[in-house]
Amino acid sequence: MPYAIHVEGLTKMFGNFTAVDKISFNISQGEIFGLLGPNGAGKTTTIKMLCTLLLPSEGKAEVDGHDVVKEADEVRKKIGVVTEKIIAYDRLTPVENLSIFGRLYGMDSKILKERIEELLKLVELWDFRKSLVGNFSSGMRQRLNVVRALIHDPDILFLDEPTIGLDPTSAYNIREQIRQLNKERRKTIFLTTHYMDEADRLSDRIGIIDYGKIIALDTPSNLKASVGPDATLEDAFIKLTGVKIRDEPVKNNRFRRPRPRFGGGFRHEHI
Amino acid sequence: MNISKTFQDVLTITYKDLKEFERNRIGLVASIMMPIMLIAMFGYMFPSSSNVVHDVEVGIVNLDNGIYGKQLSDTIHLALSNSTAFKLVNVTALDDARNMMFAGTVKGAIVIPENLTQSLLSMNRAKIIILTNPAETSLSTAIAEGFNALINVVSRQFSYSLIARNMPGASPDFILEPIQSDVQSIVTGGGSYFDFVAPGFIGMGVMMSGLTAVGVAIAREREIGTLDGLLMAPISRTSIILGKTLAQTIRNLIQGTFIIALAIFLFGVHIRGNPLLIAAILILGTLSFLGLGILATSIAREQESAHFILGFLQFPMMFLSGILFPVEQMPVPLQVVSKVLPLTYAIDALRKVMILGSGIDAILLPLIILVAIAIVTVALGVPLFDRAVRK
Repeated sequence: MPYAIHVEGLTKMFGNFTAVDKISFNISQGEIFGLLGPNGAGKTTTIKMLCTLLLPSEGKAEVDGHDVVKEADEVRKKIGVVTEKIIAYDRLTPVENLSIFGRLYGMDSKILKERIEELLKLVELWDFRKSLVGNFSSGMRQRLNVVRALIHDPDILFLDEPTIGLDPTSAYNIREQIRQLNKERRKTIFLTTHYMDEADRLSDRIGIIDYGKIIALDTPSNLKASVGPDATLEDAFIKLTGVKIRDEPVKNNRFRRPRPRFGGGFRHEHI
Repeated sequence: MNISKTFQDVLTITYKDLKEFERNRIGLVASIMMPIMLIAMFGYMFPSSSNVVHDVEVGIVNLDNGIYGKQLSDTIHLALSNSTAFKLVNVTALDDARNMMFAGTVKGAIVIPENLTQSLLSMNRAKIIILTNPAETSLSTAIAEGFNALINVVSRQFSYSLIARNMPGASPDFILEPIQSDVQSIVTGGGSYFDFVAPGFIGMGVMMSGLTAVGVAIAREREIGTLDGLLMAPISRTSIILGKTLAQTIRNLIQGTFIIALAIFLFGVHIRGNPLLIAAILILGTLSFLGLGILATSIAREQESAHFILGFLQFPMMFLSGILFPVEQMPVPLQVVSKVLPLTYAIDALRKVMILGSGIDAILLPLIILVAIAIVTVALGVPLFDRAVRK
């Protein structure tokens, strides 16, 4: 069986700054893979290259057997991406939002209609189908963001910090849905998060990235065991990456526009 | 990439953008009210601005075969021989003069009617017609005032000679003012300064929203994050741009219609030409401004430099495209600049159709230039945008 994601020597440079440095890993179909790392370590850049949003500087990556550069459109059909920023138009209703994206994925309008109803009911947004997304709370938006990524029923899901800034109940719901998608629908899931607990509970395997390099890749239990008995994933993470805080350095920002945003923070632009 | 899928994608994006516009009521109202406000401001501020004019070409038609027609024409020529304001052009027929005015080769015409000598000999008051063109309001005012004064002087000289000859039987009215001037517009119904500025500001409204539209819309989607959603969908970059372009064109057309309707209703602006031609000019104008905007935002790597480039394009267009004063009256270097600005052509065409009721043949050149600008800028801008987004 081919790998869901196959990455070999993948590198991304922004000017002189190496954001992702010759990383290689494979993700099997049906696996939940967690990518952890401090701010600016290269998590989002990696996801953006895999999702065809950024061109790699070197190396290669295949998603479902398709090259992310040469067969970008094939890759795009296969993946669903929950980005850090919510992809939804405030002046449209959830139904309108989903139907626009569904149509861009070439979905048949009858199937699309059923799919929208199913998905909105799944995340309990069906009752709000006629209100504008601009009036939604952050939990509602994030739920819509997740189902938007699922509209075309992709085999592989990329989730870039899907629970950031959510209250515990909303975060729990999102995690439950991720688990279900994986267990019941056999979706491959590529997850980045800052919540160690979340990564520990969800992931089959965890990669830790720091300064653009993968410094550890194993199952959560093996990572914990490498530190000692009763160790948490956080202990393992801190041991591997150190305790020094990396704030995002102020870089040469001549090419600021295409650069992905690293790190999290609340989405103040949505208030 | 399959063409029908691309076409569908374009329509999907267009639909989405139009829905967003439709729900942004404040933005919609503001974009319509701005040009209306400017028309009101300038229309009331300069009801008839007669600026200092120079080298304005005015046709002179002498339809009179008698002695006085020749004498009068010679006097006018002599009086203006050293004038820097007006240059006389001899025209043989009245229709030629009208055609030249429609084409813009002369800005006005002086017509000596065929029965001039006869009327004067039979001691009836004669009328000299000053033809003006409402599409050039500030010039037409200057022409009307200048030639009125000149004919007054000529008339007075004539009346002295009448008095000197002690003409029996002449009525005092005739002796006091043997020759009268009569200002006539080449289009019926005349034209106010509103008629003149309205096409200018309609063109400007189209330019302002066209130039920034696609660039700003993309920057906005990038900012809120939705652009990534479009870029990750299996659609071509071209369909994103074309969808946004189509949405903006439709929006500008609707906006232009509202502005024109309000201008008619509020300021009594006259529309003499074919509304379909006006729509065509608005569409082509929008496309050429959108093209320029796409090009500028793709070249600029970041939002701020894009704003700079757009400002560089916007301000010269506002002042040098003939919105408020005729291009011909600007210093030569500025006229050269105005010739490369698409707004100049859009306004020129709009003015000809709206004020003079010109047909397509009269505005073919500006239309072709607008099409060329649109094609070149879109052809260059789309691949550049493609590269810029995926770096």
